[in-house]
Formats: sequence, structure tokens, C-alpha cells
Amino acid sequence: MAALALAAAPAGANVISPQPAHSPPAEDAMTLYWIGLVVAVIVIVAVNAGLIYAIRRFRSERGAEPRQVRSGAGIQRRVGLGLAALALLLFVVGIVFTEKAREVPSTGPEGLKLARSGSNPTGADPLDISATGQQWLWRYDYPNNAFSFYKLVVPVDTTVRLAVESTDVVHSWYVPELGGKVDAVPGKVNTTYFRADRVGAYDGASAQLSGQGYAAMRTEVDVVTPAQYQAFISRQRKDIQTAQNIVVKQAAHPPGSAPKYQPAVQAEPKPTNQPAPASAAGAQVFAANGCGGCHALAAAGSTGAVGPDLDKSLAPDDHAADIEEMITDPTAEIVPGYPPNVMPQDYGKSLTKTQLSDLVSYLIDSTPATP
Amino acid sequence: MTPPPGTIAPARPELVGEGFPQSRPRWIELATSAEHKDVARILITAALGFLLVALSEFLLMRLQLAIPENTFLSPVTFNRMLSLYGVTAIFLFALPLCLGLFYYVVPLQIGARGTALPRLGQSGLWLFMLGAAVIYVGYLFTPSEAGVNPLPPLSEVAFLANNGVDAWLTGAGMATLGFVLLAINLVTTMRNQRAPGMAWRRLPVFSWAGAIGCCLALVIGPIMLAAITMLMIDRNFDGVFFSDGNGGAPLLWQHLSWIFFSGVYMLVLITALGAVAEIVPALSRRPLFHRNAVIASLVAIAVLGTLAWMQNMLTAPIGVGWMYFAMLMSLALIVPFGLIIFNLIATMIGGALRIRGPLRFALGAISIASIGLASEILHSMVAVAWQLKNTTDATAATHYALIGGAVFGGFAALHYWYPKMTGRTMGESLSRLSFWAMFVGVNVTFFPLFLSGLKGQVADAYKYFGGTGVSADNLIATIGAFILAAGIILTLINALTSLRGGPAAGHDPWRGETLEWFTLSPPPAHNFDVLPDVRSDQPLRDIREAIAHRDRPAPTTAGEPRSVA
Repeated sequence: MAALALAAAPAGANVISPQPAHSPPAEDAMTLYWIGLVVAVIVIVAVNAGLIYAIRRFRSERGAEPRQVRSGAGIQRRVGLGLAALALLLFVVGIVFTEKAREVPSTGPEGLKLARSGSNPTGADPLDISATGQQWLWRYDYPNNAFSFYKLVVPVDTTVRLAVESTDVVHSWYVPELGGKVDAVPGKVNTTYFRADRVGAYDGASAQLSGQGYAAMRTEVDVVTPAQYQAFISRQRKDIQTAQNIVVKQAAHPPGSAPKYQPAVQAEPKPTNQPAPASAAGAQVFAANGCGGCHALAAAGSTGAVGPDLDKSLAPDDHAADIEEMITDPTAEIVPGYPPNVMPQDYGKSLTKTQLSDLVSYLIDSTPATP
Repeated sequence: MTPPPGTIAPARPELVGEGFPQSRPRWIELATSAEHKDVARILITAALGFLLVALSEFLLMRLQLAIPENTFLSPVTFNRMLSLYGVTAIFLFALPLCLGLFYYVVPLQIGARGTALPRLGQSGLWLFMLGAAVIYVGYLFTPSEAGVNPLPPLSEVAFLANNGVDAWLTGAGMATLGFVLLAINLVTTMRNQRAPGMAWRRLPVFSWAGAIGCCLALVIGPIMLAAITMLMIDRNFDGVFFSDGNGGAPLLWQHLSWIFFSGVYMLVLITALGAVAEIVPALSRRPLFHRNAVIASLVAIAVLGTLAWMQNMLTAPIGVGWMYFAMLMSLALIVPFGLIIFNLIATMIGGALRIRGPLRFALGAISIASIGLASEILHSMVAVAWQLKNTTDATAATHYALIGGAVFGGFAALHYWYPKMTGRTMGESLSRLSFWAMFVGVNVTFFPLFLSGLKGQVADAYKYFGGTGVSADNLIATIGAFILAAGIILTLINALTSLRGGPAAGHDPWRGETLEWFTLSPPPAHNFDVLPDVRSDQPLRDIREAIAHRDRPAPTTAGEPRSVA
């Protein structure tokens, strides 16, 4: 019946149903939704039709003498058994479709080819990604130590096993078209599977009140081809590695103190046709700290929309000291239209002085801001 | 000279006085009274006042959500409004209204001349009032931002360090303790003070609802108190009850609080259905179709509904077996709710319906709550719940069920027993206007929220973004909220103006069958001068029949045949 309703559903059907599903578990949930909706509508119509019938037909103004009869136990037993049968039927249907939705889909032909392992001899292993909620950002950790903020990039037609965790309060990972909500509870790992069937971007949100930045704690899943995915991962890894190298180097040679010895393995990067070194290092800081997850910056190719667009909001009258204050104390001045307290307020502590000044000079170089 | 042993002191003339002169102002008399009708009147009045407060908070939130990315409220203010709205609607409106109605009506219905433990009930009332004061005074300086159900770790001191959450916990805890004390008194009264012949099987349905609801409150109240105590220890004394990695359990609060909130949900519906099951037979002039089925269903609702608490945790990391357990319990509720609604409709079919205030609101309660309860079918099916939980679809389902129960059901009960409480009937035309505004308003407000939830709008968020397809839904919902508010305010105005201006009611305006209609309106302090021997579940019908029998003229006298009903 539900499949029939689904097949016969007019174009506007997704007004009264969740968003079109693009992952097998979400499709099973959708089928179950239609079954439940049909039952719920029948129940609502039956109750209200009964009420309207009684009101129209049995008003005291009609002058009929009320019949002083009570029900026998038999009617009650029959009605009760009928309702119990309906409840049991819904329970069984609910379990059947929930079990289908819990089945782990296997990676399709278009998907990323991953090695078969002993634990999963019939098909490729799912791609393991973890989503970590923190106030108010999602961090995604891919295999091979790549990570990204705000935006999850996955290959199309590939089964993804998403381990949802939290580092602070309870969050809920929710991308309607790829499946339901998964709560991120601190100290627990909550796992979900999906397999996106179409290249594209899917909007998502956090669905559990987590404080002031809750409404802005959005996320986006970019479904790309396996080749694009591989390219993305290697780019992320390279950026992260470069940034880490700079941090390690700066820790070894604090600025202002003469280096006591030169570690053999850490060769100075050869200056090539690149921008000024401070600015280049700043670019790595920008990438490694996930700034691009929230801020659009043409120079970094980032398109995040949670925070202000840096190309537009930074003006020529913003100087180094102003930009540094914006980073370390983001609540001091808020761009109109953006909520306060969304941007983490601990960059003053988590970034070293050099990283901060590199980042500032990078932003000055790549935006209208002036030194 | 000592009196001989065993001699009683000489008899003194005994002074018996009627009507001691009142030396204190009326409000002091009322506030210090432990008499159940006075306590209940304060409770009901306070609950209706807090309904107005909750309504204004709801309107502020709806105004913020009227257009996408609105800046009318800041996220902090919105979260404060949300926390305030939740605690006001549940702890300061729905629960005191339910318990207040029970506290007024049940002793009258069972033919008691008072309650068993009046001082305990009185302390319950004032604990509740003190809790309300703590919550609102707390809000004046540092409000809670933790939402309707303050889940740790967000409500832990690491994330919300100010005293707002402490004020929330203290206030809600005191109110809950107050409700437990009121419930103890009612259960004891029902156990010990029933009129002669008032066996449990003859107890009116609303009193049964009272017994079930109070027993439910005795189960869920202490569970919430335990959770609140643990969170207070966590916040103020370095406790680790809800922290991960220290032997604590982050999900424990969710389990305990959802047992409480599911129980409250059921308590509200039990009260509403209990009242509706008194009103429908009285105003259809027909006995309830099957009493025992309705009473047994009320018991089943209390048990199954509370056991279904994990229905609220279907997205949390709990085993799938527990999810199926929650689904089974929730879906099993179809049977008792369905049976009750079947019996109510069957009572009306073949009756003579007087569509007055009480019946109008009672039918509205069935209609509105049926929409909410039917949508709960969807929300209890595990895979669907993964999609719909914590979207505005869930907000809409809960509000349909609870506004149907607490507001429509509560107003039905108010219209029905208002003549008993005040001696006057509530104005009929204002009542009709208010009903239609509320009925239209609740649908215009919450139906669009079903649709926006399906498009993925999450609940409790202070804003949404344009281009996500939910802007029109939210604007319509905001308009509807004002219609709903206008309707609710009209009934509150009606209740106020009818205090003086309502038509005089007499002791039995609805031709009820239960004992509260046997006494004066308003009843004297001791409730009954004389009590009949109760012989059936319709004692007033028995009395009317006896009178008719006594008055029946000799067969020779011609006259109109009298109807007995």
C-alpha cells in the first residue's frame, strides 16, 4: 500500500513527507513514514468524523429522548482486540522497515574501491569517517589523518560508516536526505551508515540544543566522485602536514632566540615563486584551524557561510591589530547579521604568537585589509 | 481533697458558635487556609496565570521565528525564553492545573467532608508557589539557557556557569515536591474518606483519573527529584553523576527526566480524558458507554505511557532492543486511547447533546489531541523517528496533544466545574468565540510546523535560514499563534468577568450524576450537610428517581408523564 502511495504520489508529495531520500536507509525510513502517515490520517479522519456525526445528528434541540443504555463487555472486547491488532501490525511493520534501514548497504559500482578485509569478505569495507560535534562546529576525521571542519566530503555510491561523537555537550548529526539523526553523546560512539546515490551537496544541521551557536551549527555533505575525493584527501593532508611542520619548526626555534642546532631532517623549504613566507605560513594556519569551514575567503578557496565573508567584511581600514583582535576576541565587534559567541574564543590561547601574526599577515595579503 | 479516681471533670456548659466573626482580611484567610477548595482555587488561578505567562513567551519566540534570520531576539535571549517557556508550561501550568482540578473536585465527588492530610496539601501548594517564585526571581538575574529539558553536559557548570540552571533546578524541584505532597493527600483521602457506599467500583471516572494521576505523580515525581538532586550535586559539589569517563553516565539524566516528562504527558491526558468522560455523559444526558473500559484504559495509559519514555531517546546511543521496547509501549497506547475515544463517541451517539461551553471544549480536546496522538504513531516508529525527532514536526505533535489535553481539556473542566466553584456559569457567547479562535489558532499554528519539520527545520533553534523552504510555514505559524493566544485570553477574560456577571448557576446546572452536584454552589467549608447512601455509580440519578417516586401522584391524578433521566 505504501509503495503504491509512493508510486502514485503527486509531484508535491514531499510537502507532506520528509525530504527525498538519497541513501538506502533513508529510503526505508521514507516507506515506513508513508505507511504511518496513512494510518495516522485514517485515525484522525475517523475520530473527527465520529465527532461531527454525533454533533450533527444528536443535538438535544432535535428533542429525541436519550437512550439510557450501556455497552456490554463484548463490544469493548471486540474494539479493544481490533485496536490491539492494529498496534501489533504497526509494531511488526515498524520492526521490519527499521531492520531494513539498519542493514548496512554495500558500496556500489561507482563508489570508492576499498580493500576487502577478513571481517567483510563479501564486499568492500565501508569508508570509516568520524564526525565529532563540538560547540558549534562539526569536525570530520577521515582515514589517513585527514580532517575537515563543517564540510564532510564523501565519495558517491560508497558506504560510509560515520562514528558520531562529541567532545562537549550533546549534539545530533542530522542530514535529512542521507538518513536520520544520530545523537553525539560525550563518552559514547553512535554509529550510522549511509550511501549517497548522487553527486551533490546536502545541507544538514545539528538537531539538539547545544547553546548559543546552536542555530548556526550547520553542516554540509559534499558528495563527489571517488577521484575528487582522493584529491580532496591528499590536499587536506598536505595542508595539514605543512602547517604542522611549521608549528614544529617554530616550537624548535622560538623567534628571537638563536637556534642551538639544526635538526637534520627538517630542511628549510626552498623559497620558490610564492608569496612572502609569513603569509604562506598563515595560509597553512588558516587551513589547519578550520577557518574556512565558517568563513569564505577567495584566496583559500573556502566558501563557509557560518561566519562573515572575509573578502567582503575586511575593509582597507582594518589593520593588523584590528584583525588580531577579531581573531582572539571575536565577540568584541560583531558583523551585523551574525550572532555573537559562535566563533571559538580561545584562538588567542590555542595559536602561538607567530601563528597569529602569520595568519594576520596572510589575511592582510589576501583581503582588502591593509597592514 | 482529691477527687475520687475515675471521676470525670465536672461537665461545663459547652459553647457552640456558628459563623465566627472574621477578624482577618479575606486574602489572608484564603492564603492560610488548608481547606481543599481554597488550596485548589489558588492552584488553578496560579496555573491559569502562568498559562498567560507561557503564552507570552511562546509569542515572543514565534515573533523571532516569523521571518528567516530574524534579529528580534538574540540567541541567548531565545534560549532563555525557551527554557522559561518549557518550565512554565509544564511545571507551572499543566501540572498545577491538573492537580488543582483533582484537588477541588475529587473530595466532592467521593463525598468527603475534607481531605485526610490538609496541612500536607497546603504545604504542597506553598512549595509549588515558592518553586515558581524561585524560577522567576532566578530569571530576573541569571536565566537558564539549557532548554526545555536541560540535558547535561549542557546544563553542567562547565557549560552554563551562572546560577540560572540552579534556579531552574531548585524551582522545578520544589514544585515537583509540592505536587508529590498534594498527590499523597489525595490518594490518602480517596483511600480513607469516601462516603458510605462509595465503593471503588462506584467512584466517578474523574475521581478514578485523580487516583491514577496521583499515583502516577507519586512514581514520577521522586524520579525527577532524584535527577534534579544529582544534577545539583554535579553542579555545586563536584559530582560526576552525568560526566563521562568518571564513572558517571551522560545518558542517565535523559532516562530519568524522560520518565518524568512522559509521565507528565500522560498525567495531562489522563486528567483531560477523565474530565471529558464526566462532561460528555452529563451534557449528552446518557451514561458513559462503558465505565470499566474507560477506567482500565486510564490505568493502561499511565503504565504504558510512562514505560514508553525511551520513545524520546530513539536517536541516542541506546541498544536497538530498547528502541523496539519503546516502540511497542508507544504503539500499545493505541488500544487505551482508542477505547476511550470510542466510548466517548459512542456515548454521544443516541444522546441529546447540549452544545454548551464544557461540551464544546471537551469535543475540541478530543479533536485536537487526536491529531497529536495520531502523529505520535509516526514518532514512535523507530526509523521514522530518526527523521522526525527534534524537528518542528515533533514540536507540533507534542503541542497538539498537550494543548488538546491541558488547554482544551483544562478549559472544558473549567467550564464544567466553574459553576460549582463560584455559583455562576461562564458566559456562553464569549466561550463560543474563544473556542473557535483557539480551534482555528491551534491548527494554523501547528499544522505548518508539521510541514516545516518535514523539510528539516530543527526544533528549539533561534533562527532558520531563507531558501530552505520553511519561511512561509513559519510566518503562518506565527500568525496562528496570535489567533490561539487571542482565544485563550478570551476564556481567561470570560472566567474573570463571570465571577460577578455570570448567570447564577444553582447547585446542579448540568444535571450531573455525581455527588459534587448534590451540595451547594459554592460548597460550604465542610462540603456536605448530609450525605446520601451511595448505591450506584450515579448517586444523583438514584436520588432523582427516589424523589420522583416519592412525588409521583396517586395513579388517579392526571398529569404529564415525568421523564427520569
